[in-house]
Amino acid sequence: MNIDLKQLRTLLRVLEKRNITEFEFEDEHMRIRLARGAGGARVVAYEERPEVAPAAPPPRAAASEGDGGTYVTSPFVGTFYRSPSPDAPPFVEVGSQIREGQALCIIEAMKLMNEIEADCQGTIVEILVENGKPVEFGQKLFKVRKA
Amino acid sequence: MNDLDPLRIEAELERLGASIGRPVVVAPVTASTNDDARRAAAKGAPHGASFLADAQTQGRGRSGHAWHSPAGENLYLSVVLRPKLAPQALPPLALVLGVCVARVVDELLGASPSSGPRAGVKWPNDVLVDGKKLAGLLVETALRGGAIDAVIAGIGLNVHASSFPEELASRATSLHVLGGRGLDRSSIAARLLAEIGRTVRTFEADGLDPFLAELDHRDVLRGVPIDISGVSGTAAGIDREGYLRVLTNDGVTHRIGSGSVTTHGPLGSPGARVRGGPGARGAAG
Repeated sequence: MNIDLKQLRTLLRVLEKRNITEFEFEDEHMRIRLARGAGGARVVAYEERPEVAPAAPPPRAAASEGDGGTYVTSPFVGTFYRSPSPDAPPFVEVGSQIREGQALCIIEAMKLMNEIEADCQGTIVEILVENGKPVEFGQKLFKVRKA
Repeated sequence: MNDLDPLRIEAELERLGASIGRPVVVAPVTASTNDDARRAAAKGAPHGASFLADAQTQGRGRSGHAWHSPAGENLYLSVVLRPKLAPQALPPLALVLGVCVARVVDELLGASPSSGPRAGVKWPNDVLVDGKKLAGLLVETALRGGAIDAVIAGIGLNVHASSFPEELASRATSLHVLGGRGLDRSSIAARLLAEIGRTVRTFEADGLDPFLAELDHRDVLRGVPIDISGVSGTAAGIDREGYLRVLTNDGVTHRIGSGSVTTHGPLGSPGARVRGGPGARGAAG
């Protein structure tokens, strides 16, 4: 839950109207501290807290930012394949330079073969799943360093 | 036999009021119609563009398994679909397309509601009659940054083949072998495309639900001992999300979403559990 501008204005107004000099609110989503001085009420501190346990990972084969790298994640529950067929070489290896649109792997679910393509140019830093293993929705598959 | 003619396919599509199928491209020989469709999709081919070939040199089934694709005998059809669906809604598409193929096969073999369906679906992507494989589906898509560009639905359907290589003979069949008469690949292609057009619309609007009863009728794995993805048990139907249910000896039901099925016993017959046939077209058509 984020606080929006309208809610914030209402809070500040209430503070001024009621002659309250300081206000602090905290829950699992955020913490906010407001104070009123000569110049009127102002926000002293505001922080949003990340969800502790999100209900579901983001519903996309998103590249999510991590520690200096980007992760390519699985859009489905399925099986991870590193090559287009059992006897073909893998799409990529650690150290492979990749370009946008290049196939990285296949996630198979109910024999729907989903080729996951790179959405940026970069280098494969780490391959996080073994060939032929099941993957979960949102699971990290590759770590990529963006070019 | 050269019964594959783009002009006749187009005329049939028109007559059937098909919502997809055009433009039609027919090649005398190609590596794989799925590859043709993929290349065309990458260049912007519209929803419904269809690619056929008289013969394939590198016909593929799932996981790159070769699909026996000699000239003049069978139907190799791939269609570009651009469904309005989120990626995570897509996986049951192969099942739904299997139902499409099974319906058309039943028409071609003269199966009636009173005689019951002949075409069965073997989860997740094969169509069988009398325990032998008649058609296979290969559905491919590409995702970039979580967005679907196009889905390529490939169908290999054995039509005129009167014999198969030895290694396939015990497992494969054709419409001709099954007694289909007046078989014409152009007409069959158009019927398949018309059915796929209708079915994909239903799937876009209502997901797998409208197909569940028919999938259950046509499920040839139910009750069969199988191995899949490290689980050994008895196939116990297809659930609402398209997963295969497998009941193990300890009474636990597993939901399996991917992997290859190995069967340890004869396959069931479609419609065997329901008296009076499938009513399939009425129920879900």
